[in-house]
Amino acid sequence: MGEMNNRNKWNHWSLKVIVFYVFISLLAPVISNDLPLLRIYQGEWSFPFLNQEQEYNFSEKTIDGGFEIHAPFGYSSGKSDPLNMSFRGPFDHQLAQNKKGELVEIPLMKRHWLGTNLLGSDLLADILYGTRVSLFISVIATLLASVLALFLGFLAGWFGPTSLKISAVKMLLIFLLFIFWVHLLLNVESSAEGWLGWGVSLFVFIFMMKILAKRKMDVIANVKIFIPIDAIFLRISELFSAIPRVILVLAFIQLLSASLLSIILLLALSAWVDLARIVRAELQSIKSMTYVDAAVMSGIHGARLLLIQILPNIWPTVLVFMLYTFAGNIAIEAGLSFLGFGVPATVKTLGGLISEGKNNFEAWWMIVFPGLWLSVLIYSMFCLSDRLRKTEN
Amino acid sequence: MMSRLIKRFLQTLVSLLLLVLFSFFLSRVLPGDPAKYILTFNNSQVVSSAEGRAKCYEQQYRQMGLHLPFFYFSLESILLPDSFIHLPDNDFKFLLCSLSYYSGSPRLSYSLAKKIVANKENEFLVASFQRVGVSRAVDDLLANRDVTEIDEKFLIDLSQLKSDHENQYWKRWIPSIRWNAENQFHLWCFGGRLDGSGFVSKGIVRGDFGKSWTRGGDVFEMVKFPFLLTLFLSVFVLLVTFPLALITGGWLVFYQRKWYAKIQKPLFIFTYSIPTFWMGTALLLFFANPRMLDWLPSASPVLETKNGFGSWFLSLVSQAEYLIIPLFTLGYSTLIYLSQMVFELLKDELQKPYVLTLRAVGSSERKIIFYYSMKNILVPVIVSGMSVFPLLLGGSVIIDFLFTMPGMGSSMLQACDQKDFPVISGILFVSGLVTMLSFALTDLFTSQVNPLIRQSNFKKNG
Repeated sequence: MGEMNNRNKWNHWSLKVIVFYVFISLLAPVISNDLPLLRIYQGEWSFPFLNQEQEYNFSEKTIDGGFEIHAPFGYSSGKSDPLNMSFRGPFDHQLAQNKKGELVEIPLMKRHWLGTNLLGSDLLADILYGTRVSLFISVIATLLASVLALFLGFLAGWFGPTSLKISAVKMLLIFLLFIFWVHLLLNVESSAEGWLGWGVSLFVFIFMMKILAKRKMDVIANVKIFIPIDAIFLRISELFSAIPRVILVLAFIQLLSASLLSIILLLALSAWVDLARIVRAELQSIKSMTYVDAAVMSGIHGARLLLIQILPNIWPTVLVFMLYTFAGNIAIEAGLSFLGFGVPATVKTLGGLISEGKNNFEAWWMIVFPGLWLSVLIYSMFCLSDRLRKTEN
Repeated sequence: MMSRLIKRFLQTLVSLLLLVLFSFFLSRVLPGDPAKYILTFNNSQVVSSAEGRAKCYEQQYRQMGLHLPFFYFSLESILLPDSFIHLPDNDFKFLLCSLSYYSGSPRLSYSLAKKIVANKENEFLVASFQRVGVSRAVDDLLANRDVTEIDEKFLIDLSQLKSDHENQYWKRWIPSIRWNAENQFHLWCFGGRLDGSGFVSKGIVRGDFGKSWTRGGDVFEMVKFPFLLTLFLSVFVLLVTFPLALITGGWLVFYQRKWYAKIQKPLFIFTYSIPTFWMGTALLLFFANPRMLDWLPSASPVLETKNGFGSWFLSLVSQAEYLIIPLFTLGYSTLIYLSQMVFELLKDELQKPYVLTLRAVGSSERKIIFYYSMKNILVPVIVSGMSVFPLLLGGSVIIDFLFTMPGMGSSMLQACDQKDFPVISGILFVSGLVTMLSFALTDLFTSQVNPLIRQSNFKKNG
């Protein structure tokens, strides 16, 4: 019964929608491109679409009986169509040039199905490429946030308020090493010497630890102090949940420059809180179960215990909250590009497209289509997580 | 009860301390030199002479208290005397510190650095020190002594510096922790004055967030009314959505077998998954657009901020029609979230045995749902209602941007455009502070409302 349940829980339309989005965004250059995917010309095979720098030349095709395969939608993101500039809607007259050079109504296969923007760039292509950027940023940010959340949640949940104890001498040694490393980082600027200092101090530290581990040093090493890791975790998570995420990311993006990497990092650093709290709560309830005791008694410790014994048991809950985090990240990333503080303006994103439409209300398609596309993605994530949650119970 | 109160108070205090450190960190760790930034941004009185510019710069530098160390503790090498850190001129400080690090003898470095800076023709020297590093620069100077027009004394000092470098090189590796009684954090947090530099601050504990870098005004005065507007809108949304969510959730459970209650969930969740900014844009497009339905104004209210709080509030209320779309945009996701939560919780609650008893006794279904069960689910709903609060504050950034409202988000975005870090850190601090206080109050309130929490706590403590 349980196995049936496990097999069925992924069998849901929302997963298919998400997979569809991922495929679309991975294959965007093949689906929507103004350059031919494959060209066989005088017996030579070439793939022009791989090189986006070049312009498509109509005459090339007509010189000789060459053979070309085109993408289903014949426009690339960001390349303007000079005949359909300044907001041509999906139902408006769209123009094209025929072989004689006359302006005619565009053929059906070459239509801008979702309209164009001010510069005549095709909205459908922009949406496809924008989804790619949004998904890339949110996937990486969610994975980073999950790793961070699992680590911190494990730490707080496993050790609890009092059970993380550390020898006072070791603590002192760690403190000294920390001070020295910060000193190297801040004050000694020469990099080669800096690396030497890091290495030597680490070597000395490990050596001292080895000495401490000897039996004769037991008296010193047994003086222990406990670290209230749970309380520290709670206070830090309260700090991060109290500051609104948009404001946090907006503030810190001024320190770093606005690039893909910094957006990913900031999204990850602001998204870990909820997941980490869930992991902590799950661990607190799972810690006292007999199978954990059995594992501990059979000599499994540390990361092995957490990853092999405990993680599979809390995995369903973690997955549900990872999906929530994912949906939240997509929404926040789109909101940031909407505000103009997201990824650099040269990169098309869904939020950027909507903000383009916001300034030109006559171009309703610039608002409606990217927004619907985004909402359906987020909706299917919510539905999938709902499904997972229900089959879990 | 008393011990719980004290414990919660201490916890909030620790979190607040973290928040203060966080905001301070944000306001200080910047790329570049804030004094220079301010002078280039507000170059209203252009000073032509280099000397005048340097004086201006030093005055600005001291006025902001930038010559002080950051925190109560600082980690330096033993090579740097205290006085080096307090120097007002960044270029000179850089030169001095790097020379001192290089040679290990502060006194000699000081006289050399003074000589280099004093001689105006040697400006390129400072640049070369910055570019290639001290050891390369000193070697170059000693190698090509004919190229530069430097006197003998200087060269002797330089070779002395090089020999010092070879002898006392190791000293720079030794860190020393120093205690700084006067530091930037203390002044920023608790206020104070610096004699002789014109630095006066009341500190954030008395509501002084410093001066805006780009607009010159007091940050508190600048952010006061925008923040009030945002707070008012957020609290209003919470106050309206909370009872509405209880009622909606209750009715959905009451009619859960009807067809319209069955399709409500996908509809509501789809609406919930619409991003705030798109909802706002779409509402403007459909309801405040002369091409479609021109029902509501798309402009923002003009608020009276000159004559204090009362007239501000009156001007806000008298322009209520401007707030309909913004309030809806801010509140729809909260309403759906809370009402779905009430719906799920109530459905589970109705499975419990006491409901069966109540039904057997003959209570009406309406009374069971809206009175007996509602009482039991109130606490988790209140807690998650308050956890929405930071989302509302964050949503106000998007609302303000969309509807050009004079709220906190507008101030934030303007400050972000101009890299005005006192304003940014002030807004971050205040929004965090309000949320933390609301979290603490919710905790206390729920422990009062729910006898179970009160009792379990009593057992634990005594």
